Amino acid sequence: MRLLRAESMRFWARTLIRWAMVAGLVVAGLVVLGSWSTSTPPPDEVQASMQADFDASVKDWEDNGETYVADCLAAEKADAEELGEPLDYECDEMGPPVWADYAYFATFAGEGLSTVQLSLLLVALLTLGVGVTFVSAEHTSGAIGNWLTFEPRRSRVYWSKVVAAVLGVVPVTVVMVGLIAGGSLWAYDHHGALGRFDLDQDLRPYVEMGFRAAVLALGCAALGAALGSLLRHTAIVIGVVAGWAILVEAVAANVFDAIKPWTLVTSMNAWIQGGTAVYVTECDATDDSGMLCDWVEHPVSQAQGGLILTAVVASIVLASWLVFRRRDVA
Amino acid sequence: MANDLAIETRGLRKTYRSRRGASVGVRSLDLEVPVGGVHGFLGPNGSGKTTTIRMLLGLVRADEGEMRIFGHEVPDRLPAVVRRIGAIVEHPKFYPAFTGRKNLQILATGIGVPVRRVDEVLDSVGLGDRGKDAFRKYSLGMKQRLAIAATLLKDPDLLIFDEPTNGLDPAGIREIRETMRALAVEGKTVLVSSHILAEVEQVADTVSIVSEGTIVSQGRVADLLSSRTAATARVLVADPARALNILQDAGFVVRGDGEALIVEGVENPADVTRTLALQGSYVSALVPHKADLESVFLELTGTAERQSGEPTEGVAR
Ligand SMILES: Nc1ncnc2c1ncn2[C@@H]1O[C@H](COP(=O)(O)OP(=O)(O)OP(=O)(O)O)[C@@H](O)[C@H]1O
Ligand SMILES: [Mg+2]
Repeated sequence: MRLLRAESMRFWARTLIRWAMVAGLVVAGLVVLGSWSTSTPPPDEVQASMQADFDASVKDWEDNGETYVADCLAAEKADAEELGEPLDYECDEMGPPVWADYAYFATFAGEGLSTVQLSLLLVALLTLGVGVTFVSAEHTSGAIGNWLTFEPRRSRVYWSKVVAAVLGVVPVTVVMVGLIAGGSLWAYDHHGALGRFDLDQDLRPYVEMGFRAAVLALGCAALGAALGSLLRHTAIVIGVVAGWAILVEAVAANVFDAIKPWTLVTSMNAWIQGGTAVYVTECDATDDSGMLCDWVEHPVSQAQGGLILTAVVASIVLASWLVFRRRDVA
Repeated sequence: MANDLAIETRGLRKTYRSRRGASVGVRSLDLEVPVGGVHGFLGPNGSGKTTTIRMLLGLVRADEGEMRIFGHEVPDRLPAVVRRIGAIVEHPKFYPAFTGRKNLQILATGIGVPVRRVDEVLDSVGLGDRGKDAFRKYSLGMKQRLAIAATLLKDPDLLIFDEPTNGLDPAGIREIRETMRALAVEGKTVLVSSHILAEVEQVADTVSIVSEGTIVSQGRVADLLSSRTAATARVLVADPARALNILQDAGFVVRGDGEALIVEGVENPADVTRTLALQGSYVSALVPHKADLESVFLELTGTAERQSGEPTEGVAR
């Protein structure tokens, strides 16, 4: 408990960490601002021309609708006879124009939600960075050696740092997630642009998504602390994380897309979005002509994503602990 | 193992391994530091002083050997004694961006010392008015004093200072020396490592001399010196080569040193003069040179060996 208090003092005394948090709040504010401007209805003259287009289409349908349907049915029949198999041109689905097709308004169900989901990953990135710099600074400056002459029990020292990093980012995580998720929803709602997002029905899963994003961010703080302790220099951690992102998440996942369902990016998307899907090429040998390849949609469940992320964070945090327990400190 | 020892190590060994190969930190090091007083830990650069101190503090893992501090097996029982040990290893290392006071406050919080103690120890090392400055803005002397203040947070019984005067000006060196003496007077045990003999000779009651990772001699400074009270004499003669033969024939231990001769184990300088005079070789100057820790040190650590190319006696290996 004393150690945790000391680590918390250390955490909050770091100017870099405080600035990172301010930057995080600014970013969250910008996301809300973006949602606000995206969801702002277009100016009157644009709306008027949309309305004019719509009215013209309605009139066209009223005048010629029946002819269009008849033409469609005729074409369907003719082509089917020519091919000798039944066809469906979906003529019965033709109907009067829909206003939504003419009003190009961004909706929360459309643009808003995916922007929110993407922005929530930024929270995790921030807490990762905070965790790294919090712990690595002590190794780089050598202050850890001095600290160990006050508290030689390495495990306690290590875990108090990890826990302090996680607790330390709780406020910024809560505020950022709340701002990004709540603020964006509010902005779209304010402009009456929720689209197919139904406040009664969809709000609860939406809140749960924010909660999962916060959990991810806290996990990333622990991961950052572990990486900072393991690699000891912020620059090395940045190199390793960037190297992994480029080589594995980007390059390897494109070359061998069979690994796509298992990458960290996919897992994070699945975890936050409550399941996602990736497209994987699957090739089969055909009898004579060689290979036949196909884009196959591969669903990734939220549980799978969560499990992979938990496994990665837990194993790195534990490995870093084992290393720190035995390592020579200069 | 005796109980009147503050520090005791047996057969301590540490080899550093890296991609570039292995380098021996210490080998079979048996260190004994009695309780009370200032104990010098003397050895040339790279002889393993810092390595030993790091092992005692659990910063570095020994490959082999046993260590005890106040009778407690370390590093296993270190948590039990760590509150009684204050240590500064090499340069004082704190968070550069934090103020001196903040650095100490974190340490105090970590060990459950009331935070008001911080101002007391800052005052006691004369940093009371600089506590608000960032550590990185401190001069080396101030950093050193902050480190001492940090050790005082614990009110320790054993203080370990690793080359505390490195880079300090004479006033700073004197201050540190007085601090160490004052601590010893309070009944605390001080282990101070150094490669500077004068420093150890001035401040230490007992000394361990380490060379290439092993202790080559240890005991009271006074005893180490008196075991070699027989002085060395530096003799100038017209014909050094002939005089060397004369003295050697007469049973003296002699070696050449440029134009001069160094005669060892001289109880009475007149013996040298008389022996030479009897053979018609007249001494133009004779400077008796009483043994100090320096010559003992050079002799023991083999530095003299390398300089004169002559084997020396008394190396307890
Ligand atoms: N981290 C390390 N990695 C590899 N070798 C090391 C390391 N630390 C020390 N050594 C080696 O161990 C030996 C003893 O070094 P140590 O620092 O203990 O000597 P020292 O007596 O403190 O010297 P100095 O008076 O220069 O401080 C040296 O040969 C050194 O090169
Ligand atoms: Mg050293």
